[in-house]
Order: sequence, then C-alpha cells, then structure tokens
Amino acid sequence: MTKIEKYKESVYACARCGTCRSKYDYFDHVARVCPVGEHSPGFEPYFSRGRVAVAQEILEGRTKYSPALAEVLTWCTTCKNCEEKCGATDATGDSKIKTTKITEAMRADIVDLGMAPEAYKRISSRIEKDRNPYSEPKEERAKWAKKLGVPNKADIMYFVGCTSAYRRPEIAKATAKILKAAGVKFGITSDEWCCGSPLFRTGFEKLAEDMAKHNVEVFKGAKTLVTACAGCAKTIINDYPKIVGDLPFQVMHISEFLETLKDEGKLKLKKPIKKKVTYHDPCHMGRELGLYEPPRNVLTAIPGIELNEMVQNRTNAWCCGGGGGFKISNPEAAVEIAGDRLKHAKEVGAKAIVSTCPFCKTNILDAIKAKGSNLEFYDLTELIAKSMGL
Amino acid sequence: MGEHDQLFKNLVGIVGSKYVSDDDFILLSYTKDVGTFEGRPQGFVVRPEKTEEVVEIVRLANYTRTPVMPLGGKCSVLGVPPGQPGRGIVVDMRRMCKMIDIDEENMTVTAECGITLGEMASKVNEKGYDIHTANMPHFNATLGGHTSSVPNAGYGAWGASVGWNYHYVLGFKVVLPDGTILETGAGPGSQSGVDYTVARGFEGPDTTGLFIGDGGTFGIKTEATYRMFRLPKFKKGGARAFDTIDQAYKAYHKLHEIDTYLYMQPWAAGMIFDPETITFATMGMTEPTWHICWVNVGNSEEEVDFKNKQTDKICEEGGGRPGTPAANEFMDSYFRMARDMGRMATFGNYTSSCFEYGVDRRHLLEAFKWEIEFANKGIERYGIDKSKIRMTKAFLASATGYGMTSIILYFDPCDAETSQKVHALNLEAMKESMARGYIQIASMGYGGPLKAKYWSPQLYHYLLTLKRTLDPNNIMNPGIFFP
Repeated sequence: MTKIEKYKESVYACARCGTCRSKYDYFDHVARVCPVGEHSPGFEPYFSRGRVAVAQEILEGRTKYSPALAEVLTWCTTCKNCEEKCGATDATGDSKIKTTKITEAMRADIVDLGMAPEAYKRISSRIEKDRNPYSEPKEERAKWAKKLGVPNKADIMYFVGCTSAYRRPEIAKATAKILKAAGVKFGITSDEWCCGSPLFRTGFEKLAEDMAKHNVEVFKGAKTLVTACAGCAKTIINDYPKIVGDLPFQVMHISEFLETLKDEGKLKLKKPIKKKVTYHDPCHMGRELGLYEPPRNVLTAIPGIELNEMVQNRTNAWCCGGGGGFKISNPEAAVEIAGDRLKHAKEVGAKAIVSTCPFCKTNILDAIKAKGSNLEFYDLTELIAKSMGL
Repeated sequence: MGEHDQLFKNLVGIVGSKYVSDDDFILLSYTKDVGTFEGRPQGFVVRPEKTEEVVEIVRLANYTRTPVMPLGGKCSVLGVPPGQPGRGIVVDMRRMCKMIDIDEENMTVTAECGITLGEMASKVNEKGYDIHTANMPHFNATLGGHTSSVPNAGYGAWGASVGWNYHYVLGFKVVLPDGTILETGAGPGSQSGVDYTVARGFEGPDTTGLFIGDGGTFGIKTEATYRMFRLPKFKKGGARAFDTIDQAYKAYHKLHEIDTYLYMQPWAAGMIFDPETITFATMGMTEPTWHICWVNVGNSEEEVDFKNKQTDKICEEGGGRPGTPAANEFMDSYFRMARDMGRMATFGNYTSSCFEYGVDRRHLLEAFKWEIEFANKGIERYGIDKSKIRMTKAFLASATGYGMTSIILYFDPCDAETSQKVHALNLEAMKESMARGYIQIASMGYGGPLKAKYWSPQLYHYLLTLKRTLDPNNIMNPGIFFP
C-alpha cells in the first residue's frame, strides 16, 4: 500500500478551483498563495492543485512515481499557505485537502521506491550517521554552551535543535542567557538528536520515527521542553504524538515562554533598541502551531522598537523559502523567495527583520547577502538579550 | 530523431527547456477543468513568456500540423479542448501576466491575457478604477481564457445595469492561426497614426467581436484592452420579499423598463433568489420566500439613497415586503462571496454548474421555471440522494437584453456516485436547454460543439468558412465548434 492512499479522501476533496495557485486581493488583504510555485517553471504540479491532480492519477493507476516526478515534488516548502487559503473546509474550518500531508506522503512513496532525489538522500544519510543534517560531530552539539555551565538535567529542558547548535550558536547563546537572567533553572543535553523535521518533510519516515523515539526517551523526566526553533517545535508538537502517543512533557516555543516570563515581570528589558522592525512569521510556527501573537507581544515590549507589519503577515505570511527540504534541493530558488520577503520588509519601511526560527534566519541572511540588501536580521532572542544587557 | 523528439527540441528552442514538458504526469495534470468532464493528455505543455514566442509556437504547429490549445486558469466547467491526444501542444498562457498600461485619460487598461481577472481588477482598483469582468471565477480565470470561453465576455457584478461585459472589451492582440499578429480595436495594429487602443469597432467592422467567445479557435489572444470605470464611492443594498416568483419577477421586470442607454438604471445590480437560496445564503436570518436583492452605487450618499428609495418603491408597488437586515446587506456581500465562490467551493462542496444559461428577457421567467422543474424531476429520475446535494437557484436580467438563469448543484467531489449522476443530468439539461433556445454559457470542451449544433446552417457555414480561411491546417484549438 502506498503512503498516498492514506490521504485518498483528502485527494478527492479537491474541486480544482485553483485558489492554491492564485495571486489576488482577498477581502482586505493581499493573498498571494504559493511562493514556490511563483518561482518555479509553473506547470500545474508545481502548485498544490496540480500535485493533488497527480496524486489522483497515481491512485487511479494512470501514472507512476518517477525520478522526474520526484524532482517536481521537491518544489514545496510545506509552508501550508495553500491549505490555509483552500475553501474546501470541514466543519471546523480546516481544509479538507491536506496538501502538505499529501506532498509529504508522495515524497515518502518516492523514498520507499528508492527514487529520492540526491539532495534528500544526502541529508538523510548525514542525519542517520551524525544525528544532525550538517555532518557535525555529535560531541560538539553543546560546544556553544561550554562557558555557560548549563546542567544536563532539569525540569525545564532547552531543546536546542541542529541549526542553533551548529550554525546559529548566537541564537542558542541568547536563549540560554535570557533564561539564566530570568532565573529559570533549565538544562541542555548533548544526547539530543535532530528533531527529524527534514526527514518528516522529505519522506524519510522510518528514520524520522527513530529520531522522535530517541528524543522523547532522552527528554523523558522533564516537565517542559523549550525550543527556539519553529521547525523543531512544530515537529515535536505535531509529528511526535503520531509516533509515540501523548508526549511526557509540555512543549513550548521560546516566544511563548518569554511571554510568560514577561507577564511575570522576569524579563528586564532595560536597554531601548530604537529600530523600525518587521516580524516574519515562520510557517512552522504560524500556520502549523497558530503562534502569531506571543512573539509580537514580546518584541513590542522592548523599549524603542517600532513594529511595522508586512502586508502578508500571520495566517497570510509569505514563506521565507527555507523549509520543507526546499533549501536543500533548490537553494537558488529558496534565496529568491527570501528575496521577496526582503522586498516586503522594505515596503513597510523596516530596517530589520525579526523572526523566531534559525532556519528562516539562515535563508533570509543568504538573501540579504545575495541581493546586497542593507536590511538587518535578528532572531527575537538576540534582541531580547540585547535589551536585557546580556 | 522521431517526430515527437524533434518537436520537443524545437519547442525548447522557442521557450527554453524550463518551460516545455512532455512528462506524463504533467500532461495528465492538464486534462481536467473544474467540471466533471474527463480529458485526455496531449503531447506537450509549453509556457511562453511573450507574443513573439506564441507566434513561433503557432508557426511550428502549422509546419508540423500539430494542434495547439491555448489554456488559461483551467476554470471552465465543460471540459478541456479535445486537441489531439498524445500529440497536441497545450499553450499554458499564465506566464504572460503583466499589466501593460493603465491609461487614465482614455479610461482604458491593457494587460497580457494570462493575467487573472482578480489581479487585473486589483491593479486598477489601486488607482480608483474598476473593470467589468466576470464576477466568478474572479481570482483564477485569466483574461484570455475568460474572453475566449464565455460569450459576451461574461456577466459581471454590475450586469443588471451595464449588461454583459462585451461592450467593455475594446481590443485584442491576437496571434492568428498562421502566426500573424493582429491587433483589433482602433489601435496601433489596425489604425495608422494611433499608437494605443482606445475604441472598439472604429476601425470598420468590429474585429474584436470575432474573438470574444470564440473558444480560442480563431487565434491565441496575448493582450487585451478593457474600458475602465471609476470605482463608485458609495453603495447601499436593499431587498424585498415576495410571496410568489411571478410577483417578484413583475417587480423585477418593472425595474428594467427604464432605458439604460438614455437614463441611469435605478440600481447597479440585482437578482431574484429563490426561498431556499436566500435563507441559506443569509444563514437562516431571512424568511424563505422569493426575494429581489439589489445594490445601488453612486458618488454621494444622497445619490445612493435616492436610487435606493426609487428601487425600493418600485418593489413595494409590486407587492414586496421590506427585507430583513441580512437580506438588505446580502447583495453587497454576495459579490464578495460570489467572487470567492471558486475558493469557497461552498464550504467544502464542489460546485457543478448544472443549469446556467443565457435567456432573453421575454423568456427568462418561463425558462427559470422550466429549469427548476427539470432539475427537480431529474434529481428524482436519477435517484440522486437529496441529502447529498444542495441546490441554489437565482436568475437575473441584464440591461442589454439577455439575462441569465443559474441553478447550481453542489455536492461532495468524493462522492463518485452522486458526481456521475449529476454529470449525466447536466448533459441532459444542456441538450434540452439548447433545444429550447436557451444559450449554453461556456464555449469550451463539451459546450462548443453543442452550441454549434444549434447554429443556423448559414451561421455554421459562415463561421466554418472563416475558420478554414484563417486556419487551413486546422491547428488552432480544433474541435471547439467544428470537427
């Protein structure tokens, strides 16, 4: 049985209206829908409608998975905006057409058939071997924290994530410093493995399950797991329970945790930061977890910060182009999509983009460099730490 | 190198390898539109970026005797063109989506034909203007697809007062079947000394009209110029409830007696809704009786109020009771809702445009009653489970004679049995309606040949002669009207 069969009902719920490939004014806000499709060759399967149509053809035996289809299936960041805009909704208002899950299931079928694109294979083999997608040594996972003296067991555990641990240590350091300064007793562990997000998104389900099981076992005993990575948060909250059942701990994104600390008066935001900023909603945190206000509430608590919203924000946010395995398989297009975000930020007069995802940071920084932009980028934790004088 | 590979190579030479595909899964993804009709995969899909590339594709098609099928938003409901399965070239026009010019002095807007109606409208809205295009599907249909597949270029939001959109389409840039670029309307291609399109038909015979509702069989439209109008500053809706459809129609007809060409219509838009539809659409906040719902627009509150009172008075004199607040506001929200209908697919149910026909004012009421009866009997006859469908019924006249009846059956696309039965009923209704003289709206897929079947022998001969003259190799979207 193919993985796509699990989503048969969802596949057939599509009325082929084409909203998932539209670009229009929807009520009072702009609703461009698919960042990837707009930067792709543009044939139907580069958008959800076409992918779902191909899924139907596969289910009906008129076509088969192929390396060419595998390549086209890489053109999706799983940003979920198409699902958000889809009108075929159930009684709860959710889309009946689980386009993101359908894409992931098709990718899983591709993996099962041994047709995974080379870029995907490379990442999965790195994670299998080194437990992180960057092929960095396991013993260096907590290198960033050497001088911070963080214990490896506590009620509150900080799930650092591979990108913060190996590529964006400034985010990990800022997070740890804030927690310490706020008097939070927390721990980290170098036994942490990749959360599995790149594996879940690109179809390596078995390996992803191994990551999930390991991490749940390692963090068992903690009451709360805090992470500063949108992708890790989404994966642990949404994907892990399907594998291990109810999680033995609560999971919070750092922005939620910081909001609580702020409300309790534990965030001492002393130093003003006079800056016009805009906030980029990471897809995994926004459309996947519904976390729109906590980061904004924390950000605007910094004295001097002026938050100017981009036109496409919150449920309508434009993906940065980095997620869902897209940056791995289509690095140039990923940077072009992030370039759209730079334009959006400029349009509202922002001098800096703030976000809450290390991988968004990487991709947007790549675009800033590629486009020669004078925009700055900060993770929320970096600005909070700065305002706290850390 | 075989014929297919050679053609592929040549197409790559025209648009680049990124924009040509013959992958089976890509070809299959172009075989269905929004309706229930099944199509068959062609040989290639190409995505040109400019008119010159379209010219080259058409020349190549002529040289190789390969059919070309221009494609817009895939929003039609009667199936994709037949083309030549396994061999034809689908020309996906959606890369050609640029706005070319907004001429505020002449009140015209020109855009490439791959732009969606919604995007084109939003661009002119930004400058305080609007255009008369289809209200639905608004966001996904392209300019080229819409003007090709719907007669009179469709019926827009203000159709009750301004008529069908036909009059607002000023000119096209068309790639003819031999690769010639023709510009219609008084403009650079047709009128020496004029460097932009400003008017329709001033060049002599109305050449623009030939390409409206032609199903893309006379050429591939790459640019279109529309007349703009100023966005009204104020609007206000209203409604009146009637005990019977006859009572409602009498009042409705009275509203249309004012000559639109000499005087302003008292309303901008209005239509009659059946009891079930108005109750459903206002979420149970309106009594289930026949309703006339309208909206007035104007440049001041006083103007809108005046028009609204005038409309209301005519309806009151016709026996209408005051509408509920929900019904009063309904028409305004209706346009937004209808524009969004393609997206909403009515809360998860798929729409099947079962009975939607152009009917002249004299026969409109009779046609609507007949269609309701036909639909109800058909539902019984086909054993369609009523709990699995929803039916909305509305009809409207236009200032320019032809009105439209609309009975839409909604059902769950996952329900194959209901889908098949509704499809069969749809086919039957189309044939019966055409036989009665009601005009099938769409020219695409199944609709074109059916429409041609009811042309007079003289009209058929005239259009076939034109087709053969313009397209001797029959490569331009064959099978739309003629075998």
